[in-house]
Amino acid sequence: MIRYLLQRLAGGIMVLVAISLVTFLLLEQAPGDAAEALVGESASAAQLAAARHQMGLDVPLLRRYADFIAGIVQGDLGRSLVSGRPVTTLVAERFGATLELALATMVLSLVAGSAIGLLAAAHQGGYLDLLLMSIATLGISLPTFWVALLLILTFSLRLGWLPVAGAGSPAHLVLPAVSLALPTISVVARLMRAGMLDVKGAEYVRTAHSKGLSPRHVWQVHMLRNGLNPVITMLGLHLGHLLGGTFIVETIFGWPGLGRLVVQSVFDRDYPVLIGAVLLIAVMYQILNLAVDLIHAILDPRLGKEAL
Amino acid sequence: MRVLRNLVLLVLILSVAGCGAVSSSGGTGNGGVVTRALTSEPATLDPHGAAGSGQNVILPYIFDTLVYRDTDNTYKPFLAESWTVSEDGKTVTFKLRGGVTFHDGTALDAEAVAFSLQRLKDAGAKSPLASGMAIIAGIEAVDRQTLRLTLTSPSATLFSTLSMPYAGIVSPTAVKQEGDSFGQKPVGSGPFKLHEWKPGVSITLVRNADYKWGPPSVKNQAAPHIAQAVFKVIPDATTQLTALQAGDVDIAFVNQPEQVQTLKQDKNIQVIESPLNSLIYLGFNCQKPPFDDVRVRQALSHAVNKAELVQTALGGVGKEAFAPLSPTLPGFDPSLKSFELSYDPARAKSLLAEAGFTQAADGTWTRGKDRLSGLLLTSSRAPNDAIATILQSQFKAIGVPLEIRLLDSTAAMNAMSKGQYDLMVWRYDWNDADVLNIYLGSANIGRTNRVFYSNKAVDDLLNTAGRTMDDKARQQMYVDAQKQIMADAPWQPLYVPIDYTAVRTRIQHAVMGPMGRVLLNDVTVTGK
Amino acid sequence: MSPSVTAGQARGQRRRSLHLLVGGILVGLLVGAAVLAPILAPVAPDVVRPTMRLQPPGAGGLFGSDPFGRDLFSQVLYGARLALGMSVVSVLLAAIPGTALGLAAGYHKGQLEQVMSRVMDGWLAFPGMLLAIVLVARLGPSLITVVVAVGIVGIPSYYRLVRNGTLGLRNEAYVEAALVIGATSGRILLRHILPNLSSSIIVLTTLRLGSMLLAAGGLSFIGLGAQPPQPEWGALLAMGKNYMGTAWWLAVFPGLAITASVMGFNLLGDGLRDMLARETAV
Repeated sequence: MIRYLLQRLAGGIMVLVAISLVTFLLLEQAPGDAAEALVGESASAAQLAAARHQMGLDVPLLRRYADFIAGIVQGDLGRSLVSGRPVTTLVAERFGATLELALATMVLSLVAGSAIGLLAAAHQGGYLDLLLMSIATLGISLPTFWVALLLILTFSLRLGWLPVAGAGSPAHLVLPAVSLALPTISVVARLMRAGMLDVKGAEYVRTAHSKGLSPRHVWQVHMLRNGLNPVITMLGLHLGHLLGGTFIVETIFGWPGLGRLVVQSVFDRDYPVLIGAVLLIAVMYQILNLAVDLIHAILDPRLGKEAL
Repeated sequence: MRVLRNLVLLVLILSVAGCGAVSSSGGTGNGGVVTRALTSEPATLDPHGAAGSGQNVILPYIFDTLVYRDTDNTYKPFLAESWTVSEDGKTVTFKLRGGVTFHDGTALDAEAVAFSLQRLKDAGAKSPLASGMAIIAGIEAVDRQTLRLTLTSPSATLFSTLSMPYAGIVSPTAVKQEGDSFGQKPVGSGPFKLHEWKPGVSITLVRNADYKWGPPSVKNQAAPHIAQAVFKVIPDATTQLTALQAGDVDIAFVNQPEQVQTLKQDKNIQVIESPLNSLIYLGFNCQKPPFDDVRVRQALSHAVNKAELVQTALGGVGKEAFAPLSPTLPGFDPSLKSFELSYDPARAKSLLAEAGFTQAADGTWTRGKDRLSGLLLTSSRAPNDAIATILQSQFKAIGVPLEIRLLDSTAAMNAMSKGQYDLMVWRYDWNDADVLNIYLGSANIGRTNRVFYSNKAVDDLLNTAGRTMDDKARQQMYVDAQKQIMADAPWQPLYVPIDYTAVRTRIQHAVMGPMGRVLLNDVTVTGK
Repeated sequence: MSPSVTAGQARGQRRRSLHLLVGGILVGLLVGAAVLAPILAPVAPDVVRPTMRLQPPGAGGLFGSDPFGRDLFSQVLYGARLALGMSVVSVLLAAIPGTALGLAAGYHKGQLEQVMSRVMDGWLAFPGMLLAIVLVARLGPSLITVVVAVGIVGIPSYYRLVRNGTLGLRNEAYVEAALVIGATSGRILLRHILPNLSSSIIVLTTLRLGSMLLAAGGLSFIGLGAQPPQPEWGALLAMGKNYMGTAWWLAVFPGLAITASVMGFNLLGDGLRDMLARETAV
């Protein structure tokens, strides 16, 4: 077990290095650099050169990257080329908000989605199943920002129940979380139902039935466990996506999350901030995926170490 | 199953009800709070730091400047009571107002101002005022109330530079104390001081009770009546509009011309025009055939129907332009209208024929093997995409197909500087007629002169004008330069934007300042 | 040994056909619109008519007109071509490599799987939006760039789903049985494992078809995808967003088009999945 975890750690670190390099190179490829983005379009050539020098952009590419990595190893993610503030501070500020929104969304989705999916699977073929699944399908078909705008128009403007944008109170969290949760609820519901049905007719379920175990037991122990397999995988993926920052929702609601930070830093060509944010997201994914794999192993003893 | 269902309902109800209704409109009682929407959050509130639009909005509340630029583009006393310019134009002496203090109690005297201006100069390329500050050779505090600036050459742009928010005077004590963090904890002498900054969310300012030295354009020269000014970061234009209508914010810049109509119909909202010195123009790549041929440029200029453009792309919100200088800038002359390359498709076609093109059966033009078409480059910011679409359609009408490319601002600027385009749509916002030199002077080709235009006569006129202090002489030089530019047609000026700021009626006595600034010194807040 | 068909299962069969029917109709509408656009559209979608700005549905055409006087119905029809093309291509770009790699990794395990999974972890962590923006900044904005970016970003999702599923199924009795009679791993993967994963893969695919349309819209939202005057639905929605209070039709019809198409894909997927589940019942 320990050896496994160490292996994952080593692999994970290599991936982080690779990501930082790819991000760095990709941004370099984009036309214009941070100095150009900063001094604006009315600056003279001399000013541009001076700005480049001030930002350290006139140093060769690989040197800059090497310096940057050296800094990271010592725990210093560098400073923003635009504001001069430490990247760690900038990213930490945004991450808290993103985490808050992601968790609220996940809780909402998990509860609502599981309920819907289980209910539908239990009534398979009935009208309730059809209705629930239609709603679930609608949920993933609606463009998120469309939903967000409609929610604002209704709940903030027409009804005045909730604030339009910003952060700071639970009230601010509701509309963004609901906007993001709608597609997630649908994903959870559909997968829960699909997973349940996939295993309903399977060998070991019939075996359990014939052993005389109560239907409820069959449900909980066997079907739930196996039905959850794809659900958990997808949830892991989705949570990662939510943590990666949901730029559009953040923009519409003025939510101070990572998504906006990432996009803004691309427009500013501010590579220290960009790499810092991307690395944080990558670390989150690593942890999440590890957790998902471990949960799979726990839930299904058949797989045991094999799943890892 | 039932348990789960009930649980779900419970969670949903709690999450909505538990938060409680939020009072969406109205201030927080006496004293009053004014809230404004910001599209982008400033990276720093240090006036000598990197520039940004969010910063531009907030700086004037925290910092004062030596001189105040009024909406008629004249300069009035502010922190400087009076000033004299030497005969040779190379020395400017300012007499400072007495009794001015920073938020931290430090006295604002000539030493402090000298420190501040030196710091601005040292900020170098980071500040948009770098070229303006470059002509200042010496900064000297002669005595407590007197500041002397020595220049390398006479400059007509000095006062413009000193009136910008980026030339705000900072407290030396605070700078020395905070060092790098000064940008997060700014200390100036303005009517408001920073109270709280929630990153990504909002910036809250409180009134400076000791304020007594307001600018000439406001009646209340002392501390503001309101208690707080809050700036909320709302990046999305539609959300800003909704927040304004819901009363979550009191003031917002109107980002899209279409919103003006909606807002004008709202009884609780007043829409105020902001005077600006800007121009949107169509530029040609003067070094790339066939656009290096002046006849082609003139022909295509004649294909532009500005009335239709303003009506369709902007909903009528804009004033057609004909000269390279914006009407509010010194150097503008209405008589230049007669030199305009106005909408005339027939003339466009005859010019193309003169240039050696023949029109084929399908309407397109060819000269030898080459078909006349173009790549129109602009940034993806509104309303550039709309303008590009209309131009595409108007050029198609005379048989010239255009391909549109929208890039983010940095990429667009970069591509333009490298000449990777045929036509471009761009905008300038500048306070001085020197803008022509920046964008059309041959010395700036490949950098700010992105149309690669070069005309020695024009260069000479512009350079001399920049050094002339006599207004009348300057004026004439700029008019002459413009006549030549209009004949050479590197630009087809399209329109002057009309910018609007929307203010809820509960905010009384807001004063519009230069460059879209909203002065809050006189403001009182009524009821809802 | 199989139990008799229960009432629930009979209802299920009816429901399955309903899903297939409705899904089929919606997707059929999409394909039909795409193919027949030149015939059905009253006017070319890029024709600017300044006198017909912002006309509501009725006087201004079936769906109304936009701020340039262009006919919205024509735009939506031509937009169907873009929607269909982009979704299909991007999904193929993600599904084929992702599934192949997932099968290989999940079945053979060992070093290969370790490396692959770590690479995919990294891949997954890479914000798709970032890749799209930088690609667009580098290659110039176009729908092709958008399709490639979103397609590539989708590979890890397929990989992880298939790999996890393969890991779970490789121990099943029928796999052991197949090995005993000498089946090659390729055969096992294709005939035994892949079909049992088909439900999940189909679900994922239908989700991705939908998310592709929405992703393209997202990039149009920040102005980096479709170039004027391409009537891509996401771009139409982005423009319509600015007129939600005054010209509701601009945001509603493209939104409905997207929603209907994505629903069609999903329902179709549901119906297909149910059908496949029946056929491969153990």
